Amino acid sequence: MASKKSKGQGAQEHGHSHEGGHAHSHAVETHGRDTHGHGHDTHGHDDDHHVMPIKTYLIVFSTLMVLLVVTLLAAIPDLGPWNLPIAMAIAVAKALVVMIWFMHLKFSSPLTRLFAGAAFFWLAILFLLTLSDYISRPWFDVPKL
Amino acid sequence: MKQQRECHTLGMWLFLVTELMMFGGLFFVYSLYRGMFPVAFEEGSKHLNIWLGTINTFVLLFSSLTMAMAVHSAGSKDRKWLVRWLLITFVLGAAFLGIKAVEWGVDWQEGLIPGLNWHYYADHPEQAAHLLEANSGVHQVLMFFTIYFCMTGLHAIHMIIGLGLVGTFAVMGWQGKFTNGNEQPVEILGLYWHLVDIIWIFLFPLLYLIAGLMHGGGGH
Amino acid sequence: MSAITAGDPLIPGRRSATGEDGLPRENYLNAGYDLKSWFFTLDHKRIAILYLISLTVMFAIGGFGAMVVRLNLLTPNGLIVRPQTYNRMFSMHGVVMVFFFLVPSIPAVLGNFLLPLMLGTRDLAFPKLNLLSWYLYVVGALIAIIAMIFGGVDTGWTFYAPLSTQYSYDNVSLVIAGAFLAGFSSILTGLNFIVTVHKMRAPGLTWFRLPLFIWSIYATSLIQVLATPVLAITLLALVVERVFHVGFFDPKLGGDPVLMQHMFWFYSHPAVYIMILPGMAVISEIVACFSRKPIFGYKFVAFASLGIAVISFLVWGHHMFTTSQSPFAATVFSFLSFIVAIPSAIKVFNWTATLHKGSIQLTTPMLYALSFIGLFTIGGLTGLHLASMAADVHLQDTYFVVAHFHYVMVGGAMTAFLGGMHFWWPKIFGRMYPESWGKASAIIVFVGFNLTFFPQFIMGIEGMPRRYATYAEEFQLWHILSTAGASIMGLGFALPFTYLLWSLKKGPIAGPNPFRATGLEWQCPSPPPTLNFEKIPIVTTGPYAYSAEGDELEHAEEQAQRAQLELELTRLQIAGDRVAEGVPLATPGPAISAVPEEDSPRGV
Repeated sequence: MASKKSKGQGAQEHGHSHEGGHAHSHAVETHGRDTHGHGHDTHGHDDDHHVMPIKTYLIVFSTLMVLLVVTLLAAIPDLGPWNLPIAMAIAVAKALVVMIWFMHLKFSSPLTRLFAGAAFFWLAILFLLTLSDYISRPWFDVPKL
Repeated sequence: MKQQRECHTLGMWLFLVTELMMFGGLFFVYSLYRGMFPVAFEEGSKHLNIWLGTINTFVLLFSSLTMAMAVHSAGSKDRKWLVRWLLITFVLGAAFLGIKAVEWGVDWQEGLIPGLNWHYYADHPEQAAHLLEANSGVHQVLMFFTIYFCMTGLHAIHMIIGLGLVGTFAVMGWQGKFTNGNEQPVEILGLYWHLVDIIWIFLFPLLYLIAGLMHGGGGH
Repeated sequence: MSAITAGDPLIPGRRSATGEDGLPRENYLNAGYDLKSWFFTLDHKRIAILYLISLTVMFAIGGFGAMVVRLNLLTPNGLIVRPQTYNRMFSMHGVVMVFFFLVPSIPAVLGNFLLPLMLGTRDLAFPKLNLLSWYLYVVGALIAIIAMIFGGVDTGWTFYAPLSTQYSYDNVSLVIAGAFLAGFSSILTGLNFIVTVHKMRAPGLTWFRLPLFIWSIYATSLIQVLATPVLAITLLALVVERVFHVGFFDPKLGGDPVLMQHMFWFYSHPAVYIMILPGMAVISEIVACFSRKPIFGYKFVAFASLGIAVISFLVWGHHMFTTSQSPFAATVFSFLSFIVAIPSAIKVFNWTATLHKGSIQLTTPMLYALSFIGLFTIGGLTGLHLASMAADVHLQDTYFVVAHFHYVMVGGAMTAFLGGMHFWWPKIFGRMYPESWGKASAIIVFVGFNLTFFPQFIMGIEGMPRRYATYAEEFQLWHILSTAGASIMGLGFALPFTYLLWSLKKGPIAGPNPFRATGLEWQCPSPPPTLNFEKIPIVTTGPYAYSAEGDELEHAEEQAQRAQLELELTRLQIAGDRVAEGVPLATPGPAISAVPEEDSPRGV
């Protein structure tokens, strides 16, 4: 886990110490921006310079609180096998809210969103394919645990 | 500079992808064994303190808000509030870890820590019979707690690292390093912090709410 | 590509950019000689060299393990070591070769060195992260070496539970810690590469103008980022179980040992594509250059790389056909394993089509590339044998598997690594290696390799199990052949080590583009300056502007220019002599006329 700490610092210091190299890249960037074709957002200005109004943050937080209460309420009745999917759906909703507004996915480039989505897609591969083994074992004469 | 910002954002998201894949492996282990031993997992979950878990969830969600406010302050070049929000985030994170430590302390006393201090079966012989009846096997409660400690433990490690970074950034922010147009590092720290929050958002119902809300919560 | 680089002494008044030894005066190698400038470098090229040195050390260690294994197998009862030691030797060989050599190899050395050059940029996206990657690797390697000094592990590089978690007395946790760190090194490198390729291409360098090397390295990086974290959590789970005696994978406590295999192979199968895709990357470049043709079917090869990366995540269960994995899942995995062969085959077909009617130059890198195509095909096809469940039941855990993966990993990845090292050696160090030695070594490696591993296919089919220190007498002939081949192959590996080192001091100066290759990396001096390019190039054409006829024309053009320059030089000398003698010049001085001078690198 040591890597993470340095990464944060590395990312921060990067802006200072590599000025020379990036000055060049920047000078060229103004020529090449049109040919890049990536990282386009619909705003027409830097996507990192957007500043979300505080009101939005408060609304988002309130939503999260509501969802937390819903989580607890949904845990009261015994709905048999449905408790888990419902709890997960609420958790997914919370996660989406955090990702879209707190983590600024709403304002991020399609590429960033693609990468964010890729993680869940690959997790789905891990889950589904591996579970397919365990779920299908009883179909055959495979010794059970 | 825009290119540099985009690089950093993309880089951090890629890192978050790796974190998701890593925790995802643990989540899979959880899914598999809960699917195999539902009764044992429910039984194990009853020994977790739902109220402390709820408070912790609230604390973390609130800390996400304060972190977002810190990012906002950095972008608005408001040095004082940047540091304040970061410090509040720090306190909230520390509170989370404190509550976790309390929970684990209780688990220790109740002999629920696999490998270190486990005397669940000795304490609950009637449960053992009940589990055997449900064809769940006695040892799966151990499995639940193993997974519980691994997941919350790994999460706590990430919280500790996050706290370290938030504290460091508070100091650097106070020195004005993030309110001079260079607010991106705070944004990136925010991404990391939110991810740790998201992981907890999933951990809470999966670990604490298996047996529903009204089983008495915590202890016996 | 006939430019006289600025600073040529024929042009008076220009300070020569070449030093007295003929190499560029200021390059990344002589930009600081002290240890600090190397151990704290942020230059991707220096980091590549650091990796090269550490990887060579680890290769030697892994090779030592192989040597002990093969020597021991000369006799049916084990010639030189006890079975426990034998177990540790093949385990160490696997751990070192997989985690500390093959996974980093081409990406960490050639990828690090070439990626920014091929993209026309000055460095990777995160230079400090790059250095951190190297340090993580080194610390991981040191931990693994320390573990080996204390005896290593006897579990095989696959660390299967419950041997690794319960029954092994060896240093499992320590070796796992080393592999864990190497894994993070790999993740960070992949992360760095992905961001660099997305965000730092030179102007005009669209995705479909990228060299196929980049496509394959990019695909490799995707796998590194997505798969390695699952290895991390698996290794952590193994250590937790070993230390705390909990039951993730222990049936007595409700766990499933096959779960460990699922999680392990979820990473380790894509990992083998981490090892082969960079090899394919190198081969694309070499085949294009020495056929003097663009790669046939560029887009097919590019998308095949991505296809391999994605599908590689869907096939891991083929390592587990003989476990309690359900037949249903096994069938799915088997089918998908056949599918994953398709993009690899597409690449082989396209390389072959590139060779067809090309102007083939059998240089050392080309010999390695041709060798790769053949050996990888054999390795890949025998993978299909193993993907068929019915055959796999008999072949699993035999020497057939060992032969299969050595064909792809040594005959494939290692061969490509050597080919790439030779191809880009002049770029990296500015000096040419001795070509005849290079060719000889390539042939020796090829012969030695096949003699080592082809008998193993036969042994495997006849039932010789893998990871056995002793065996039935009927296999001895094959083992002897195999060991004999291994010594020849070992010689073949030792030779480049010597003559490449020799060339650092004594090799002829290579110049910026000794192979007349196209590609941005050949547009800067050899060795490149620290900041790579004086001016960021602007790219206007695709990557493989080779043509056989154009080549001849270019060659003739170069000859003509050289003749013109010699004429001018003679005129200057005559004028100089006359001035020295006090004889007035007939004409006001020779016109230093059409000396073609290109001060900005021409776009490819």
